[in-house]
Amino acid sequence: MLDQIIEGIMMALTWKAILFVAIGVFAGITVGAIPGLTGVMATAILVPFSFFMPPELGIPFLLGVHKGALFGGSIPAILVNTPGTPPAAATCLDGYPLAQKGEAKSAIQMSLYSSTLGDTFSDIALIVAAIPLAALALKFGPADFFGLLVMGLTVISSVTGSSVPKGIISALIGLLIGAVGFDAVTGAERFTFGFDTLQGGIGLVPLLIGLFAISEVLIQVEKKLHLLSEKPTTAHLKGGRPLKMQELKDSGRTILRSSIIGTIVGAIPGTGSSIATFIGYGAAQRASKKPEEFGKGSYEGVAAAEAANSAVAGADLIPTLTLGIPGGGTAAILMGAFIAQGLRPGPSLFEENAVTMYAIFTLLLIGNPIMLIQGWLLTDLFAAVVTIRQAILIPCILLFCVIGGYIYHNNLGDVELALIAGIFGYVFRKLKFPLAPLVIAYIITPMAERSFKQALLISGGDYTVFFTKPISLFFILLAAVILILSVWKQPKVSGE
Amino acid sequence: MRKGSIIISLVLLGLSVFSYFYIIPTQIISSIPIEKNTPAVLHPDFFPRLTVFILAIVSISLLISSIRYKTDEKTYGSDYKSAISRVVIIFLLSYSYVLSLKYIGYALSTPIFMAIVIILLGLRNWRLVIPTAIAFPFALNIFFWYSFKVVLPEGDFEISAIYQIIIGLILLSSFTFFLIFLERKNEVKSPENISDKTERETA
Amino acid sequence: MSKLKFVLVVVLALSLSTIFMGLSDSHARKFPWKPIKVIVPLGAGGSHDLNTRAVAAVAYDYLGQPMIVQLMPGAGGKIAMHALKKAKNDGHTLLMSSASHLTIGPHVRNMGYDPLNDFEFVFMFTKADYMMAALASQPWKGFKQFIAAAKKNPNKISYGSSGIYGTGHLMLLKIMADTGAKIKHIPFKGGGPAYRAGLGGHIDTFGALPATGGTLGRYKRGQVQILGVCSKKRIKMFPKVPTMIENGVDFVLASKRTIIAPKGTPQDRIDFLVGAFKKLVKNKTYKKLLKKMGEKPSPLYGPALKADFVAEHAAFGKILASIGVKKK
Repeated sequence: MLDQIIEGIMMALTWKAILFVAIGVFAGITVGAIPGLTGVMATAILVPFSFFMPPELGIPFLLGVHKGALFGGSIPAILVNTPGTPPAAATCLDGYPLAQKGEAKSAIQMSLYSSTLGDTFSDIALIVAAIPLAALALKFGPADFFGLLVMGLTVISSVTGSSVPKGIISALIGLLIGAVGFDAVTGAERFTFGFDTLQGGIGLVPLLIGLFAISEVLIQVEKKLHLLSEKPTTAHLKGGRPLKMQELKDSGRTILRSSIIGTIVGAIPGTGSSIATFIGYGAAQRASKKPEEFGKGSYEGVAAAEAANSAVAGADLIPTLTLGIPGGGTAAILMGAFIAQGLRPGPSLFEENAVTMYAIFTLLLIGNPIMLIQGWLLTDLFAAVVTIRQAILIPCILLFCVIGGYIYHNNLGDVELALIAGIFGYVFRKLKFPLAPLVIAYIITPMAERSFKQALLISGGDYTVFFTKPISLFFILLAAVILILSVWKQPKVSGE
Repeated sequence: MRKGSIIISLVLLGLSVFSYFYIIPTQIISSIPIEKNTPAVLHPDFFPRLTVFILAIVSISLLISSIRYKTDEKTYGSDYKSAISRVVIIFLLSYSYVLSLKYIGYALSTPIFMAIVIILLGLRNWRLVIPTAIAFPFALNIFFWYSFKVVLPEGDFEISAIYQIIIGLILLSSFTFFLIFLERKNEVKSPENISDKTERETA
Repeated sequence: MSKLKFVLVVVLALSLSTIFMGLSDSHARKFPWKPIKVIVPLGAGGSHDLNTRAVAAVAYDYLGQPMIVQLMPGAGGKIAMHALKKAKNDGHTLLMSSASHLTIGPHVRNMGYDPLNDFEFVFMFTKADYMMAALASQPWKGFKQFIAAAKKNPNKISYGSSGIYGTGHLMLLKIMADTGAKIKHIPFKGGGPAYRAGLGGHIDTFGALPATGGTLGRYKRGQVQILGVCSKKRIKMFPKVPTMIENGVDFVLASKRTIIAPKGTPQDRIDFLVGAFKKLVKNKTYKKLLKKMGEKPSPLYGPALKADFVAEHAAFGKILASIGVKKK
């Protein structure tokens, strides 16, 4: 076996292979930075290109894209409060305030370092512990999923901000928005009001674009005209200063925690990077020494979000490769690419194709420093965006939002939804309602409802199943502990 | 904002009641019949009803707490009205832009939209406005096509390319100059109009 | 003044080059003059998506224009079908459909389109026969024992389907009707999650296609048993698996990947597409891709294709009616 590993590594360390990974990473960063182009779509579009490459080149190319996209999404999130990929919504919460303070460059660098570290962690986990992790993942039945998702929902308790009722209302509204569309278990149409576009539910990407980006545009537009049409006062900072090593070290534990969370959640098929990101973010806030800074521009917040979502990149390959069950959307497409290359994901993958797999693993690991280098070089360019005067930047952002909303599902109706979400987000934010609970509830609740009903159907109406299954019980207890702790710690603030 | 919180909690309360009794029953359509013995929890309207119910309760709590909370109202500057009207105008403009994408297409609508927004946001220097309004949408279009094969909306009519360009240029220039002229007439004399040194910098 | 002239020249040059933007609208051209869009009514990474991308990967040489895949999942295919219905019928917008959207869904609820008359049938690429699978660790082996166990414990054994009134659910209903067994139906969002739950042992039986990731491998290794396949004759990939007909359930169901076009698409353009596709399915790379995915080409076109669908539509109508499922 050792000689297979060596042979694989030798196969990987060719200029051509590394070049392909680098191109993939670059393509990924670009795609991730465009709101509306999710990593899933981008990978899907690029897969046919990989058909014509041999497996040792095509797969690392796609894996590079996968990595790059998760980092790339944080760039517009930090610069213009627009999540380039859905999990970057958590990065918006702290990244954008940092950019407004003139620290865009250091925020992007924090995102870069956290993403690289998170991805490296999960890649190592993949290589070392794929099989036991995957076996664990398979043990997740509907009841266990429900438990996990309930725990995810408790994250909301830490991001409500100062007014708990407003946070709860925000979450409830998110729940209702998530209910629009088809109920998977009964097939009933809910809240579609006869509109075709709503039949599939309100899309995640148009909703995020509207709530974050367009609402921010509307808020910015209130400014006095001369502020908008002249060069910004922070322009001389050229986007900010580089990240200090100390700041990175301070967030070290957060990065590690988020990487672990991202790896575990990502390894469970069907969860997705957004859930992992918010759980990581919430956990970081609870564990932080300065929780009140979260949401106002905390480097720890950026680190927590980015490490978690990039950790998913390596982790969702775990069930994909070892069991042939895709961990998420992008992984599903990657699996298709694997199959098209003649590599059959599943238990026999390593027996039949050991050398190729080791080559792929090597390139997967090499991809991380490559991303680091590319990101580092590009950071100055990205950060310079904040030096552009807003009278020009805002129309460009609006255009990006419109196109992004359109590309998502080739449907202009989604763009209209985004605009409506924009006005909604604007009103929400002016009234000081927090956005994070809405987003979390919107993402998690439909899945939770589905799992809940499935679990009940399987158990034949027996509610105790949530407490008798060990995994489900574990998560529900964890959720209860988190809730009790957060109520206990919450300083009593009423009204605003 | 005490007033705002009161209003919004009343609105939410009203909406919850309305939803519970009207929207949910009418908007949840089970086209596939539900078997008789299904427990209530599994019905499609269970979670929405529960949610709306809790929403009503929390709205009441918010209402009570915002009535009791005494704080000074934030005083808004005198240009509050113009700020809000800008927000509304930009929003309506964006919506019209989306509609025009459907019927007129990307190539024609986008430069005009961009130009209008830039000018509305205070930038009068046509040397910056027109190139940006043309170059940026154009670059985006090329980028999306050559990398991802995404075709941006084309609109309903088929005019040959040359005519589109001519029409587009004429419309764009006339819009731009007309708006600049209007803005110049409206605004109070202020020094930021004349800024020659900013000409060199483009996006 | 020369600064002004310079800027004007630049602006003019840029706008002249916007010819690119308008190019797609120019007239008098040979079909196809712009890329051909194929809408996919299902999600990314599914076998449907992959099949379409396999075609798209080699399509340029046969069509003269690139083929672009556009995913529009949701609402059981309704969103995508509606989009196709509204699209221009100039032959540049197509859709890769599957059975349930055309022959099952419309019987069960109002989809908002008439499957046989709102669309033109262009070309069927592959057929994948639906199978019913279970973990080999179950106490019963094979269909007969499975049904016996189900009858002894009504509503205890579960089947996970890809969605309400999707292909899997229909198969289950027919099985229950023909055998009298009562099996619990657990709907999932798509075939993937159901398959996963099945492998994890959370549900007893589940659906699968021959190409579903790893099925063949698991079957050969004895991890998974296949209770039956919904085809007329036994299939080559799984020679030991009996057909559902042999099992006593008269049910034939295949996932047929068929390209359809909006109604009114000119016949000469349809003929052009058919001609191109006929040559495409012989392409070596395409055949290699299909083989790796475990699918086999089964081209069908023209009146025979439409007749096939009309027959299937009627057959499923009868089956659904016999089970008692009616449009509300």
